[in-house]
Amino acid sequence: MISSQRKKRKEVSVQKIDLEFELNGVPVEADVEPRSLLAFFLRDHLGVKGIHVGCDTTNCGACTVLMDGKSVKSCTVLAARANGTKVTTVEGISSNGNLSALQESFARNHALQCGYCTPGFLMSSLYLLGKNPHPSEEEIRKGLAGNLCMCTGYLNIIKAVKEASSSNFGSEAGNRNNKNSGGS
Amino acid sequence: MYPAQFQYYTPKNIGEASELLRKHSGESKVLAGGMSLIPVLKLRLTRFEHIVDISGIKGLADISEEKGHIRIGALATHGEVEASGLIRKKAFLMSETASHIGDEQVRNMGTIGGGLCHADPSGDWGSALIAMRGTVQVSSSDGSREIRADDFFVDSFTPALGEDEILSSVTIPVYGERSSGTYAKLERRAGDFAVLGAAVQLKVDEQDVCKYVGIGLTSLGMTNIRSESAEKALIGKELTPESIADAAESSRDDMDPLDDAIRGSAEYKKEVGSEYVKRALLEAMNRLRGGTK
Amino acid sequence: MVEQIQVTQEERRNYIGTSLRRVEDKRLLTGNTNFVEDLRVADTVFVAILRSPYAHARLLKVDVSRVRKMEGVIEVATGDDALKYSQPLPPYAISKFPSEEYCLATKKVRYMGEPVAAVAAISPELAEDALELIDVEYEPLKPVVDPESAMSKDSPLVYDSFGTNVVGHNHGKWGDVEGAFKQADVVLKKRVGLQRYSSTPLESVSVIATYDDISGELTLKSNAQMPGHVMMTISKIFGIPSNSVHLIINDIGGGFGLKTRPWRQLSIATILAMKLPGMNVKYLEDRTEHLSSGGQTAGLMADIEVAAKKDGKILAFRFRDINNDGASLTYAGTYASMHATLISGCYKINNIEWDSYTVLTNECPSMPNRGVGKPGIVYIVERMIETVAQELKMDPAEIRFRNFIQPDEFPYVTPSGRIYDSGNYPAVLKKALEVSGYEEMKKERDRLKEQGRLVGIGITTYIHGASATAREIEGITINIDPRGTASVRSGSPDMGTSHSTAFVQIVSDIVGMKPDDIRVHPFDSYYSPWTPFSGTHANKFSGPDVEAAVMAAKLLRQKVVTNAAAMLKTGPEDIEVSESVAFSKTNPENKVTIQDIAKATYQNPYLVPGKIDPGLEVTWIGNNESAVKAFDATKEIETGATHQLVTGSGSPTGYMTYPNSAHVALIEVDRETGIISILKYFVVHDIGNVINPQIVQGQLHGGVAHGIGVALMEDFVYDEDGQLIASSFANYLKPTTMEIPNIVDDHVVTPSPRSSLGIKGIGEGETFGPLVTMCNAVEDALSEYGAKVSTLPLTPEKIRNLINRA
Repeated sequence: MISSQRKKRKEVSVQKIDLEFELNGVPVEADVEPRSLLAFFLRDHLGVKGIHVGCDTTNCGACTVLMDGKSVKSCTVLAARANGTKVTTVEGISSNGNLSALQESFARNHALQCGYCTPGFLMSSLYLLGKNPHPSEEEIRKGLAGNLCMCTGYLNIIKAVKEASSSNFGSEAGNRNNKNSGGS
Repeated sequence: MYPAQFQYYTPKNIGEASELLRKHSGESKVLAGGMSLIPVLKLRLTRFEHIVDISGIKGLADISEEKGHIRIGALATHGEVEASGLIRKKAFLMSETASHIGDEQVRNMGTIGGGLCHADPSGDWGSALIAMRGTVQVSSSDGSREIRADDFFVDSFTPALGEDEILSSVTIPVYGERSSGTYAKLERRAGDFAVLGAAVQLKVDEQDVCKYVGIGLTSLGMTNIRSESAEKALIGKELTPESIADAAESSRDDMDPLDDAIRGSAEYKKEVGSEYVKRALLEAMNRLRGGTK
Repeated sequence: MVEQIQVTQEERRNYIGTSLRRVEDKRLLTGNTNFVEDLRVADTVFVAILRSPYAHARLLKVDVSRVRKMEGVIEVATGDDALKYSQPLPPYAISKFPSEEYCLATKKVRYMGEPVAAVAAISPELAEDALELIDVEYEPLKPVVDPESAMSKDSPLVYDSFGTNVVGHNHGKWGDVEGAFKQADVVLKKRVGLQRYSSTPLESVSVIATYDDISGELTLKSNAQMPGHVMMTISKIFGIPSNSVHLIINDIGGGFGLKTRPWRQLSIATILAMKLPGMNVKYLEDRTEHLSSGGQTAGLMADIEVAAKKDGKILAFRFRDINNDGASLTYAGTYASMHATLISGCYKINNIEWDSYTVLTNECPSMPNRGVGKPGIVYIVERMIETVAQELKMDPAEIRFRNFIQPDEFPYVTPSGRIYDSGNYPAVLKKALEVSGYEEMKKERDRLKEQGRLVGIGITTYIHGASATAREIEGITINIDPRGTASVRSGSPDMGTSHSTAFVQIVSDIVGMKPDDIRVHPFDSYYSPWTPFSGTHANKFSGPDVEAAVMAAKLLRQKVVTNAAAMLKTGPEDIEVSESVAFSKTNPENKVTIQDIAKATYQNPYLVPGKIDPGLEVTWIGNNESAVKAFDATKEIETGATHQLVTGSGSPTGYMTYPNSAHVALIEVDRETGIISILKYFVVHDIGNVINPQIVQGQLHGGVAHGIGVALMEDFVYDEDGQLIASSFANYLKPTTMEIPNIVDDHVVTPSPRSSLGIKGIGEGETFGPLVTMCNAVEDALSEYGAKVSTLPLTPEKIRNLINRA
């Protein structure tokens, strides 16, 4: 029943770029097409599920990851750009199945419904708290304005970030960002 | 959504980059932060056979002060400009403009050079550069030249760059004592393209007489434009709510915006544009009086 | 048999009514998800779809000869394949006209974004590249964009064979409308309209289709939100027996109705799968595709005429509405017919005339979206009552108090034959006024107005209509396995709606198990029960789904209790079950764990001979009787009324429950720019009892936020050529953290007698309120100009024009 057409699955030859970078602390070597976008490369080739593409036009932020400690929208960054960097996705912020303080706060405050935007919001929040461990509500709103959520109306997300920041969380995030910053 | 295929280059210096652009003339494009370029490549609204990624060129992201000017490397991100203490202190308008661009993630990738070269009439940097009478430095393998802000924007999405030229830095005069600047931007929602915007830089003497005024406008013409009428109306005048209102009123003459089905008709933009010029000038005046910025 | 079971739930409510932490969260927070795009399987080909750039054109030629030769391209499908493999896409509500629409365009394209051809390639990038090698010749035709001109005799036709663009007409007349108008002190006219919009789930539609040509099985891994409807429809479109359609639904990144009828997306993937047996055909709709062709609400324009007495009592109203359902029959007619369901809102108005038209245009097909036509009728009724209040210079709260259906009038039969279950509308509004500090707020507004600021208050009170119709029954299976853990399977997928948590709460309390011992499984048509209505839509969870869960849990409890009684050598009436332990009420030390009961039950199938079936599994498909009776009564009344569904657009929609809300907002308008700032926002609602307060509040927040988006910015703007301008999130504006104000909420509890838990629905209703509240508030803020708002969104320019015109 396997289609004879499968034979046509030969590779199409294009320029390949060698990549070396660190993904959630693990060294990765790969080659990519120039046009390959970081989001799709991580998701479709490295199996990183915590990246979603909700808009393709840098509006929704569901694809947000940290690159050298800075939040970026990975659907609009060439995979080639990751060369030599340290990339952190949501998979890299919990350890051994234990939620981080920020993730705990999201769960406690019901800051997610369908969960599709959630990894992006977590990464943006992490970046924000790394820069500003004790943000005001207004600063949280501004820091998360690049992420869209269609389910929650944002209020519980803002609350979750606020609550995480008033715990000892800020310094944790700061350390993590510094650790991944690669000296930039 | 994926861009069409292209060849990708990572030159080590501007000379190399310029050579590549010349070699692939008409089919190549410089990539910096990519926040404007990559979406249009993905939507396949445009395509280039050759993409010259200059992000790896060393020294192009530095921010420094020299001889009464601040030089900002083309690869400095909006976020880096926003966060720079030097710029906050001596060229607050640039700092404030940076904070209005896109969102955190976009500000972390997008660069001042990329934003200017995109030459989108709804871009924010152009207005600030015009208001501050800044210049840009462009280089090719043949050498370098300087272009004044007013001469840089030829048409919508068309900067005054030769095909092998690369914007390497932006230079802003430091206006010093008794100066202030502000950027007033109207958005339908946070991070949207500007419905319109007004960047204003002021300097006054001890009698509050306007010694310098620069007004750059966003989404109010085919490019970022200068409001010469408003500047003319204000220069040499004492800064008062009345003189500001008069200047703002005359700014309308300089505006020639396009209709936008989402963000407002040309008529609306002109009307609110002059209001925003007024608000920006008043805010800048208030900051002067408050002694800050 | 069922009637004999007496479970006195009042005794033990450990979880229902509490904010149990969601069981869904851990996976979602760690990225350990199974959205379709997360699924990576071998032998996958990727689909890209070529779409019409024209709103209306004849399709002269689709030539795929060049693309077939492209390296990396595996298969191509066009309208010819659609004709060969599939049936036309079935209409949901309108049967008068034959469907001519296939998943890939055949003779004509009828909207920008309509699928024309599809490519399967070895990578998604190459699939997109391949589209450029398909040669299509179009003959552009004049598009129909404006629904009113679409109704004229000389309008171009969306479907030539129909001979008209008007595909649905409803007319209803109840009471003595003419007589009431004669007695009126004031008669007012108003035109109101709603734009086309969408709740835009952040995840678009996606599917992996696989066809086994030996067994004839079609596997669809999809994020469709209505599995029952998908099973029925895909089986029909492709002539595949439904027991060979293997539909698997894992995580869904929001639905809001847009994933109820993904016929085009699923069918295109299925055709390619049938052409490529054994291959996994993966299609991920992108945002532009979703916005331009994934579905939008029907646009609404309504002309209202209302008759009232000087004291604010509304005597009668009549309205004519035009509904723009776009270029497809697939959902046309439903938006219009929903207007009958809440026709007089929460008010006692008996004389109503309704004349309603469903019109096709060359715009995106309509699709259900959070409430379907209910936001429309709420908008019509509430804007009407506001107009009367303004004319009579009466407080907007006061006029509502004077017209409310009173708490002792339930069940209340509306003119159009719907039977409201319960409610206390005056109490809800009263509480909203208290919570918002309404009297103080008015003073604050007046004080700020004196300072020259344009500040206004908006109030709205309205009914939602929830818990689906009682006949939309759901199926649920609960199984306690031999190791004593429970599995729940249903036809009601979780799409962010927290069904899993709510099911766990219900099963925990009724069966008497620890939440940790219960797992809710994703939908799989081979293992989950389903009905034609299975799915997550119309707030259905709070109705049929909860009823099925309650009944299945009660039956399972009976099994547990019977077995436990035998094991503990006591009578079933002496058994209590809690936290996975059954014990004697009279001697709590005499106890046995559910794990041991399961062990014993599976080892000895006739542990309690003759009393119950062996095993610990129950499937229940149904609803409770009182709800169904109420629904059937709706039907009878409808048949007896003068209400005619002239072209049969829509079946009676008597909702199982009728929650209600009051929204109060304080806003400020920037006089020079027309920008609106929301200063305060309050919601008080009555959804009866609540299963999980935190989840309810979350849905309330999300609903209000979406309503604010629709009120202020969201708009599928088409130009006169039928080109969609708002085709990405760069132009289809969604609110961000910066635009959504803090929301203060509170509630009143009037349990629904039709729900065994006394609950009502919450998912849809709070989106409706802001549409009206913001208009009312703007008119209040601009009262010095006498400005009247007629359509949404309230763009800065629109507001500025209101000020300028005055």
